[in-house]
Amino acid sequence: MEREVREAKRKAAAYNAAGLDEAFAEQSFRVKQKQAAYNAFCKQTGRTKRLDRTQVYGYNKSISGKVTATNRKREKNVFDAKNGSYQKNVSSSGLPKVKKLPNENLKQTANVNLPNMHAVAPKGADLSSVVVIAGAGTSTPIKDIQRLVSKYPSFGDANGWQKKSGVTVTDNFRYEMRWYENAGGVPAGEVKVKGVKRV
Amino acid sequence: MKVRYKGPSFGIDGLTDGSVYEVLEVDELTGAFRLIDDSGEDYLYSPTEPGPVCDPSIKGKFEVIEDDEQGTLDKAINK
Repeated sequence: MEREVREAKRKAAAYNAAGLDEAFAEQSFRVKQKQAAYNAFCKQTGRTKRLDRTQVYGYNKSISGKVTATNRKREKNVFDAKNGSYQKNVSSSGLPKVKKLPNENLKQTANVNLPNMHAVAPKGADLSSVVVIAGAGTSTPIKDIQRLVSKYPSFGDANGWQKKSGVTVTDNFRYEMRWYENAGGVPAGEVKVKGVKRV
Repeated sequence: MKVRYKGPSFGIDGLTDGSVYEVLEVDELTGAFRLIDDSGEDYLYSPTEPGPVCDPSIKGKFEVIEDDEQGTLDKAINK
């Protein structure tokens, strides 16, 4: 456990030095988790905490303070699914407002059945310009997270939901899609067409 | 311009049975309604068979509540 705390701290210090804010924010949470597990273990077993064994060269007071502050901001921004409250401290959460992702594939077949066009974007079709516009990995909370969690409990927990945007091209048209996604996939009823343009 | 959606509610922030929605325009290219749905954002929906694009089994209907002088919504729905 002491080794795990040291490893988490080492990575946090490295991300901080490299200026990787997003990775640092994630790692800060891991440092906290490892420290909490160590503290709980010592308390449970009556052992004395040997903090000298969890020290890491380069992980100074400045970084430690930054880790604590980042975790505090993160906690404020985490939706509490039980009481349904949001802590909208979004601008200073340490996470980006929008997160760009590499191209991916459509998780559901989309039937775009509109008066002037009938197109099918099959499951697996290429999606480009994919971004997370709200939810996990961003500082923007999902407005209806409570409904997502209660309607699709098998798709994952509140912290895993993302609202995504992406573009797929079929039949000379460019479709901008928006959808909700979690580890369990994309619910069929949660895909929408934001806009259509001619390619 | 406003319409009422009648049919099965879908999505966590899609369309809800009996709710009234503001239509911003009838999209020239697609002929679809660009309306502000339960998410508070504008999306494209079929005027004749509104429903989620990935679940064709769910289809509802729109009823015109408020139209413009040209009857744009009515024409789109009854096309």
